[in-house]
Amino acid sequence: MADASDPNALLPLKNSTYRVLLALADESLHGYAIMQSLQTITGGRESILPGTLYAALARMEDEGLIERATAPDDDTSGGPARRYHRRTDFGRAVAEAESERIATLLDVARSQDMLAERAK
Amino acid sequence: MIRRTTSALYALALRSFPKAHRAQYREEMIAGFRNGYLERVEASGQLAGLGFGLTATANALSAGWGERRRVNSKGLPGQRGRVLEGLISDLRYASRALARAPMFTAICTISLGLGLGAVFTIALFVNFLHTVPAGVQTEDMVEVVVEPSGPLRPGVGGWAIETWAYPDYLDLRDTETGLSLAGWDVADSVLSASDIAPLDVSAMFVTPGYFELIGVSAAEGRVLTADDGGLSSPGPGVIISHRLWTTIFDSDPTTVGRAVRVNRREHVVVGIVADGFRGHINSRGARQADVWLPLGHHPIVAAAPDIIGDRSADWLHLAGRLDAGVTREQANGTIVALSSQLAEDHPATHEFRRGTAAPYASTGTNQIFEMAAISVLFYAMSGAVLVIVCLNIAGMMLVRTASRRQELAVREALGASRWRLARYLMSESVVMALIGGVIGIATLRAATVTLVWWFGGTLPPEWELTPSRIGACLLLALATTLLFGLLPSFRFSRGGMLSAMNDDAGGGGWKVGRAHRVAAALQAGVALPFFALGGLLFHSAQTAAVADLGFQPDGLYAASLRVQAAGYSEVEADAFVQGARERLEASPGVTRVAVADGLPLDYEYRRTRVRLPSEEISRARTQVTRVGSRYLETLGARVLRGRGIDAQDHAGAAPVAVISESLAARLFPAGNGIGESIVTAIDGDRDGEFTVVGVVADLATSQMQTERPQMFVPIEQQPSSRVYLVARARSDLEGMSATFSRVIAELDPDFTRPTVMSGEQLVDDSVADLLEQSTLSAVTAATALALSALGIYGVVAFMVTSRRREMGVRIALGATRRKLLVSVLIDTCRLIAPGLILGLALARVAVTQTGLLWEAPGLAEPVAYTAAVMAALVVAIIASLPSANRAAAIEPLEAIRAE
Repeated sequence: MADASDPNALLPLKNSTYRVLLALADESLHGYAIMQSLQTITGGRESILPGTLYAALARMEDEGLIERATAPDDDTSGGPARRYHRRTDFGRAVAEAESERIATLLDVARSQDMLAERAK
Repeated sequence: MIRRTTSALYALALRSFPKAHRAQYREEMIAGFRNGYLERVEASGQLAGLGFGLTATANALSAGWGERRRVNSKGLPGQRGRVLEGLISDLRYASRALARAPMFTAICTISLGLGLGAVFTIALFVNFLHTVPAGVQTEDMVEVVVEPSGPLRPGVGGWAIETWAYPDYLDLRDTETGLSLAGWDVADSVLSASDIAPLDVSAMFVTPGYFELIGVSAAEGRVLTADDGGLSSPGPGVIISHRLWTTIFDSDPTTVGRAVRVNRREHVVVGIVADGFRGHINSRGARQADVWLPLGHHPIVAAAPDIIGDRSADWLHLAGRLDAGVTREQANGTIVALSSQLAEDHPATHEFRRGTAAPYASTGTNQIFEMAAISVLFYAMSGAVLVIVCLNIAGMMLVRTASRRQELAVREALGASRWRLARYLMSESVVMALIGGVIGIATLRAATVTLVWWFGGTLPPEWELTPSRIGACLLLALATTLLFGLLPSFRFSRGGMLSAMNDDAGGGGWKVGRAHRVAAALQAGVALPFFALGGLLFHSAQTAAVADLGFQPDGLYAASLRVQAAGYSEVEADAFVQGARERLEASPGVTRVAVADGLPLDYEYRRTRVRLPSEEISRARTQVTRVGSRYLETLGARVLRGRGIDAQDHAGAAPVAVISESLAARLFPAGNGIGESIVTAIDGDRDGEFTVVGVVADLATSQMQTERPQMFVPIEQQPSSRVYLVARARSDLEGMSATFSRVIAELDPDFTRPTVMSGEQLVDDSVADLLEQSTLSAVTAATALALSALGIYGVVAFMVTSRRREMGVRIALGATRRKLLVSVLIDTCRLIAPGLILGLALARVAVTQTGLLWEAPGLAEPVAYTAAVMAALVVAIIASLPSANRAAAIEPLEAIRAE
């Protein structure tokens, strides 16, 4: 179990972990929804396969980055019960720490003209 | 179709995830896969869907294994952790269960330990026989020997003649055979120094390059090289063994460079070989040495220098190594061609001799078949012992497991799978295997120490208990677990819960395995030959102790004179022996003195085959002894017809022989043999014809129980390198030892003091040997019977358990308990009867074919067989009594209620 008081202990994050933390944002989502969210927020440029996603979910739950959430009342999939996850406060802190780390690197890339300005 | 196939593959790939993970997420993962597949197909077609399916499957496999590793490495209760915990728990429970059945556990573990100990002792012994001496480089090494044919063949022990004449060696060496050659021979010698009294040693005499050829270097100093000279001008250098250096030279670091005398010649120690090397042949005595010298110092060369050019004198062994790029077949081709040329040039000495380069064998190439047969026999024996022990223990496990059927049924009812039950049952086998393995190691250690104590000496390195040998013993113990633990485990994990809970033993019960019945019967039978032989050998020892030995041991004394080792020439040796004989005969108390190359009961086998001149096939095998005049009179043997060997039988006179009564009866059943001719080859040489001049009453040969046909030839006509001085005197052993020493010292102060033995000692040693053989046989028989008792107990116990209900019904119907008990005992006797019949046949073969008894044992034989059968029956009945008592104690109500 990661040290809940030190988000930096988990850095650098696995790629799959970071993407799931971003995809979850501040919502409670099930697995497939996380896959779709990732695609949506990245404009289709990022995706994650089910195997990687569900392995990441189990690992992140162990590490305290995410937690189980109750299914919303409007979950009418009709199929077997889906497990919902949401980001914990620790998870958010870890995502922020990772983002800072990447931002530092991006600043260096930008100073070397490796990175074009992105349209917001 | 694509979707179904990829879905199926994906579902299969999901099995790579841990079970707990699958329980939580499997359905979602399949749903996610399905949605992703449909999206790809909708967006880009079937091929895109297929691509997604395959990619997702591979991804699932990879991610699943990664998750599995993560879970296991974190020590979380993953699947692997649970399995390990289960195993430890089973082993702990098995240990407690075995502790609650101490007798059963002790019998099984001790049996297994003894069996393993026997297997490993035998394996070590066989390995010991084949050990390559330390430092010898065996690759491409050969022994150049002679394959005899025609009339030479029958007189040769083994498949080859090992020695060559020196001129033959020179021809082989100087011909392009593709071999590098070195000659060698071992001879008794005497070593002394300023502070070392004359000491008998075994010396190897070698041609230049011997050490280089076999690849051995010196631990201290150097080895003999070409600079140390050849046959004609040998140098003074001598090499000593590590053993000699530590025992005689006290590990003195200044030994290299010391002056010593070997066979009365001055030498200098130039090197010490490494510990464990005593020659390149591992024959435990006959061809091992403690001293190495150039060939020119060989006593045989000093005694008869003409031997260097004598084509008829075979005395030199040849070791060789194939040159680079030359095969043994190529070398053989050249050697055979050279042999043919020699046969053509020297037909009198070289006809029927064909040279060959045989692969090097650490035991000597001539013993290769014999050693292979011994090895196979020993391995077969040890394998048989282990199989029998395993079958016995499997039988006992069967009984134990059968009696726990209800417990197993309850476990099954609580959810244990068949594999789980089998694992639970096998855990007891594993615990017993570990205990048995430890006992096996202890047995092995005890056996090796006992063998070394029995035969004397120190424990050779090849017998040490190394970690690898200990590991191998434990590994074999665990492997045998599979052999005897598997059967009952799977048999009783089969299920049938309801019938077990109802104690339904079935109408016919469980069938006792045929293997177990046969094994129990065989064990009872295999003990019989050992019992019979042991009894007959004991009877033989008793008889021999009072039997007519054919000579008078009281007042008889003898000592071996190592004249050749003293470095005497032939003339000097003859003069020395003659002088010793005369001085001894003139000594107070000595009435008669003779010389010979052997004695009765000397454990030496000097055998040859004898035939009549008119026949090609030999009539008899006989012991040959070369004797001086009045030898038979000195021994106190009775000459029945004609005369003994006397002074007229000198060198140059017509060859004569005196034969024993039994040999005369075999060769001349109709006549008395005097004046008749017989043909034999002495020492494997060519046949010679001898005229029989006397017949003597049978006297003991090499041992008390060995066959009596014997012939005596004049030692002056057939010289021998070994000479015994034999005296009859009115004195005790101490007095005669002093007399012998005085006589020898007067002739040569540097001669080693002889060790005198008395006639009574010869007899006592032979009787003791018989008793030893008898004891060994009896111990083997007792061990075999003890093992068979275990097997019989297991089989009978299982039979009784399986027929419990039947027996209960019989009691209820009026059968007495005594009748039931007798019925079980009779079944036991029927069980071992086939084995006893086989055992009797084996006993008869052993008694008649092994040659351990020469004289017909008479009435003692049927008595021995009867006693052996009775012993086997008694042991079987004792082994089955506990089960028979249990059968007689069955409560019929209990048995009927179970129905």
